[in-house]
Amino acid sequence: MRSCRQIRPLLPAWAGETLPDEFQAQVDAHLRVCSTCRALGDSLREALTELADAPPDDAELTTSILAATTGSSCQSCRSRLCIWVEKNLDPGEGQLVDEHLRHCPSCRALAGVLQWLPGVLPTLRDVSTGESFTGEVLARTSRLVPSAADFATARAHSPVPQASSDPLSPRRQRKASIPPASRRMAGALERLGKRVRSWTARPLFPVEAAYAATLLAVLIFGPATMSSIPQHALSWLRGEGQGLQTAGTSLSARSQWGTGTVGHGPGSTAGRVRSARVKAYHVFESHAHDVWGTAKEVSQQLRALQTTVRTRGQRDIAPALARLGEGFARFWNKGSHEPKVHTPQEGEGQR
Amino acid sequence: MELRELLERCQQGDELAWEALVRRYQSRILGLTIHYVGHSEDARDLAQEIFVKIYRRLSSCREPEHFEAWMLRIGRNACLDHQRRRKVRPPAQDLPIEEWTGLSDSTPAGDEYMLLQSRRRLVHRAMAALNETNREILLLRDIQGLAFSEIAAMLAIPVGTAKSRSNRARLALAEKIVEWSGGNAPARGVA
Repeated sequence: MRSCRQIRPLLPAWAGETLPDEFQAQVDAHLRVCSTCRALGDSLREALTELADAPPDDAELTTSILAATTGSSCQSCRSRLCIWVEKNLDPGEGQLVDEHLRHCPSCRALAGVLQWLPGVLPTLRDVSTGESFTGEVLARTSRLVPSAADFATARAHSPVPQASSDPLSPRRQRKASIPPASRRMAGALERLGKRVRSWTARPLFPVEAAYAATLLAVLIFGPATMSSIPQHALSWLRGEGQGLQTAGTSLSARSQWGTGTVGHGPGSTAGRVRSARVKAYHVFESHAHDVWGTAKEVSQQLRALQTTVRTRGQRDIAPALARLGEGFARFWNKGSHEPKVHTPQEGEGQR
Repeated sequence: MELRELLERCQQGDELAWEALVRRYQSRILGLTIHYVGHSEDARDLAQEIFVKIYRRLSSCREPEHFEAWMLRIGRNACLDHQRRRKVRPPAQDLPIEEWTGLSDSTPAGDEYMLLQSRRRLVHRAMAALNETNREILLLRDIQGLAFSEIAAMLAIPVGTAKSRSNRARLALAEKIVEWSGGNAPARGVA
């Protein structure tokens, strides 16, 4: 048997159970008889067991150091976790993630879920539709475009008679013989005609047409030409061949008024203009007298006719109508008579 | 039959080809509408409307390799139109998860099946709690499997933005799952 001095150097290896079997047996035999060495060996084995159960490093210390410097590294690890799961991370970063996962249970749980997710997610792709689904889809799509056979069947069972068994009426035949373009043109012209007819049938159409014609004449001939119309009318009223010349003179004289080039007096241009105006007034006055007198006469005839109808009866109407006709004839003839021209007094044009 | 040939036949008016196309994509379209609309009957009606729209616009699909993205774009637009019309907050979570997550083609058996079901339930609930942007990017990228370029074209965003949105959406989903499972998500541990 070995002595305590020989056994004690072997005690740490004995406590760690790393001694060869024959030395282990020698140490066990010595410890059975030596209480001092047994106590020393038990304390060594207890210390080794405590050392093995202790964490390899201080996690709290690591956390506090990281909080004081860069903060938690979990976020950085999680940003790489998906690539780490796909094994696409480069080796250096992979080792760092591995190291973090060894010490961080929450990231380790995430990594575990991320590892089995790719195997589960694709299984959620397909869902059973049942037997009726295909039939329902085919029924809906077949309604969109009927096949040729369906179309032929539908025609055969259609209540509408076929074209060959239903000859067209002559009117429809004529209509069918007209080309579509011509039919469209004819329809458009018909609609246009209807619109024009309804437009011209309005009561205001003559007034509007006259207004439009006047505007058109002014636009075409110009305002300068239109300004001579009163003079033309004057010459027509006078019935003189020189009326136009007088009117033209008066027009040119009037256009020169205000320029200081026209003199005053009987022989001047202004004097001739005044004389022409006076003549026109007298012509109008004489015609107005004639028209008024004739109208008065016709009115009297009408009253006589009314009296005749009331008092004498039907037999006296014919002579009354004859007299009325004579009155109208005289009125009509007066319009074509030579109008009376009042000669202005001497010096009248000098005013 | 290859998708290209199927599409050509559909464009020529082959009714059988159209039926085959409907059968091939109907479960996918219904899954899309359920994610957007939620309600079962509304989702079915909407899926039918989407197929009618696809049928009407088949002639405008010139690139068969991008048919799925084209189809999903039509579906997404129809879903958004539906949401605007109904003014509902999508998705309405009134459809039991068992009604539509246990119906995929390959169903594992035993413990694997139970684990997958529990995870589906969790994912479904967590997705409902996400905002619309995250939910849509998860739907298009992780569920429907569209490429980032197709998602970027559909959402009118740069490809880089689509990628970063996808990462953020996954992380947000994982956080929800961890939060609701109390840190005991049905996982087998970090590999």
